[in-house]
Amino acid sequence: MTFFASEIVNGLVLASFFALVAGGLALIFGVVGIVNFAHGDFVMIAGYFFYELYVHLQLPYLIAILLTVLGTAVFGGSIYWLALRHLVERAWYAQLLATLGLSILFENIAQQIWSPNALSVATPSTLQVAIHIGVGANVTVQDVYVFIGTAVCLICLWLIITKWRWGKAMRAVAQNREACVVSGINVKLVALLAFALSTALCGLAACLVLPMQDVFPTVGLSFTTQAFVVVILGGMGSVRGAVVAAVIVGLVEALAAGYISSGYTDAFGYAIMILILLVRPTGLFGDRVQRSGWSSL
Amino acid sequence: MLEIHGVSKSFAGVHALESIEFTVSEGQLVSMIGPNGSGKTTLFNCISGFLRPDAGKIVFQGKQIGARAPFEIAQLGLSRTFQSVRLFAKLSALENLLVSMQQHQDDSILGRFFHTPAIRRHEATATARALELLERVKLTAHQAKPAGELSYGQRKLLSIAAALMPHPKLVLLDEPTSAVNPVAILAIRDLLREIHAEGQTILLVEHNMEFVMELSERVVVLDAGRKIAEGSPRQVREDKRVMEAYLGS
Amino acid sequence: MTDHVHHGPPNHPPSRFRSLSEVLAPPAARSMLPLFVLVVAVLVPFGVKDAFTLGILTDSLIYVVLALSYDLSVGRVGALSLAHPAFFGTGAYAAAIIVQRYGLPLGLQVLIAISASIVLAVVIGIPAFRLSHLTFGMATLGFALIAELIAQNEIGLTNGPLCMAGLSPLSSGWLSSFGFDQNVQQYYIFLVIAVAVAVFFWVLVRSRIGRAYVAVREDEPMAMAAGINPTRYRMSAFVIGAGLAGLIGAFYAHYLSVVCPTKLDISYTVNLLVILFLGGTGGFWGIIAAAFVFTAIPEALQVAPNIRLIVYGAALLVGVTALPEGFEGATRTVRRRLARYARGNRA
Repeated sequence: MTFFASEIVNGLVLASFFALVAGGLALIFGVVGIVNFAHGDFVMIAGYFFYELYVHLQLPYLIAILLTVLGTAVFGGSIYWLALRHLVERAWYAQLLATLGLSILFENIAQQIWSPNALSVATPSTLQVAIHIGVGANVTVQDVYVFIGTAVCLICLWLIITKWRWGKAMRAVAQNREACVVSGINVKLVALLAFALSTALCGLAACLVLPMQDVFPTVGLSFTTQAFVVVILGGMGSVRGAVVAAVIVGLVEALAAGYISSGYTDAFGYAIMILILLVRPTGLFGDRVQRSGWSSL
Repeated sequence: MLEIHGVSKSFAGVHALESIEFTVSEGQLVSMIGPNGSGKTTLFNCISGFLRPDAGKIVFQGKQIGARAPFEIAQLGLSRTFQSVRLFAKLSALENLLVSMQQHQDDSILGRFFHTPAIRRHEATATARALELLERVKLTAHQAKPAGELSYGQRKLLSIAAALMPHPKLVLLDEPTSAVNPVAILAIRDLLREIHAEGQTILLVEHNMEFVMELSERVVVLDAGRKIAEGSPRQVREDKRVMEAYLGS
Repeated sequence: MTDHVHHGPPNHPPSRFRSLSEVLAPPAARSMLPLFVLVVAVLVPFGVKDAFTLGILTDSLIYVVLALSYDLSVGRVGALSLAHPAFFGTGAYAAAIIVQRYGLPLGLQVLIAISASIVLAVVIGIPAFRLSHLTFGMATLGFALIAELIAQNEIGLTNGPLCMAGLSPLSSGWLSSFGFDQNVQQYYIFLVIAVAVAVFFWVLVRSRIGRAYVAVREDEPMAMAAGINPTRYRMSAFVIGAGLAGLIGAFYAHYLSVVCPTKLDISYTVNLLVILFLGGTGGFWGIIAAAFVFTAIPEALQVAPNIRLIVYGAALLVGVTALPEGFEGATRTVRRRLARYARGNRA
């Protein structure tokens, strides 16, 4: 029971992380219209930002987080404006290849700057205190703070895309790009904002997860593939679907790692994705009308 | 040859087809007409396997085909063209015809690959047939041109030729004259008349009334997913419900 | 102009489909290029004596085979699989395991390696081809990562990260009777394999099957209306490509003499994608040229692996963004412009 409960807690922490990263990926796919294979690398880079600010410059914890989130958003926005902007409206495989190239570029530049070795960041000791909850699982303050951080962030995201003028524009663009162009919405700016917002989520995800996960240059790719598993499972472009799928994948991976084999953690995420896709080719919250074949009539 | 029994199909609650019923017998040239959105193309897609009807039976030569895949139906001898001409733009006119012959020769994997004498004979027969069809649609001079570089009318003719390539038992033509210039329409009309005279069974969807009335033995009229009339061109022309459907009452 | 839905990777110029006899005796002018390339390839060891350069050329030949086999799926039927290194690795591991456990001869190793890759491709392909495009790509990537995890974790079978060693380098008594050393012998062995695979590829894509591949890639509904079963053809391209990757994997295992889990790594996919997309998917000479350029040049310059990857990453990003049709497409455009310019001058 204790073991089960602590695996559930692990699963939920993992789910929070996936929700932030995959939610951003879904936003990029839905609003910007790009298959971003470099998404996980923004988390990796944010991890290094945070390391520099918090460990190197010894800034206060919360200030370091804030600056990391802002820095990642600005960095993401600039990369979008410089390079990825030109991929909008290109075929999906061209986007995948180009962003894969970007990912390799990031990974190896990071290796040049920070060496291939893993860096770990210790959070303030106050966060490492364990809280005892009824079922016997140990939950640290850090875990609680990951849940709260994620929840607050997802609520903010929801408020942004439902209440804020530009957020509403994002949803409109996701639904019908042409109509938005015609009706005078600045689609380019909306896409830029959505991209920066998504990378900000990556920045936050990196800060929240860092004490539990080391950062090293090649870590981004595994984040990317996991985020794609979650996004495809949730239905491409659906942020809500991504959040639900994140919980499923997080729990499945944690339980599988605990009870079956920790060597195959990633494999279980894929297995779930493939199984669900065979039943629902457009994912859990995918557009049902959308055709799923190799080419439509 | 083709029997349609009570075929229905709806999209998101909208009835695109409601209990359609008609048959096409061997050697006939039947036309399907109706205002835009009356369900003609939907019915075509059901017959050729691209859509699965919600209810009803489609029987082709005694075999139920309602649930079969498009390529299986094609292999049974039911060819079709598409309303907006579909061809393999990168393949030459000749190759476009040869592709249609692909599955209609009994051949082994080994044979397909190594061009055994049997396959070479088949390829020779197929090429001969393709050249004959190109001659008929007056595209012999363009046989090596990529299909994407032909004019619209030429592509339309080529797509009909491709449908005829495997000696189909029944050919479905989806608006062969739409967006085609008057000269090409005449060429298409002559071609259909010729092949029909040779015994080819044809089911046609058409907007061009003159064309339909001139060619068809029988006309089926659809409106809003229902069959509202069926008969000879003359009967249909004089049918009140058809006039109402077209003129909008 | 047309309303064809293009989902596959960039297309290639119209090709004529010819039988084996025609391929072996094409018009004189056309036959010069392959012959010339072949003669140069055969003569290389007489001029190049150092092991380093020969090694680079041998690596390039391996990449030629991998790239062509990968293109069957990516370029010919337009199914962007990310599982290719899994087939290559399966072939390599199959050979290594057979050598270590059963000591069977090379011929059997190769046969079993090919069969193992084909079986794996069928197992992956059956679920994956029910998906499409991006989901197909991600599912194949998932299988590729699972294959790598198996190589890492199933220590009883694969030795895990400690790798499998003990494979003997390739040699041929017949070649050594000419006084060629080990490196030259290996070079010739891989040259024979590469030429054989290239001829196989050439005949295949110009056969009736190759014609159906193009049909399936260009317009699936139209292909179905012509009686072609798209899944069967896609599957066949995927499986044949996997078999060829397994074949070269088995030989590669001997060439390196050790097989490690990193041989299944996604970085191989990256190298191959660079070669295919900058060489022109669905092409032939462009891919072969790119396999040499992108393998030999970085190795010859002895570029550090991560600098090489920085260049590759930038090449993919800029290449795909700026040259939608790849290298062959770009040269085609240049040729067309030159022709128009020449015509313009005459007029």
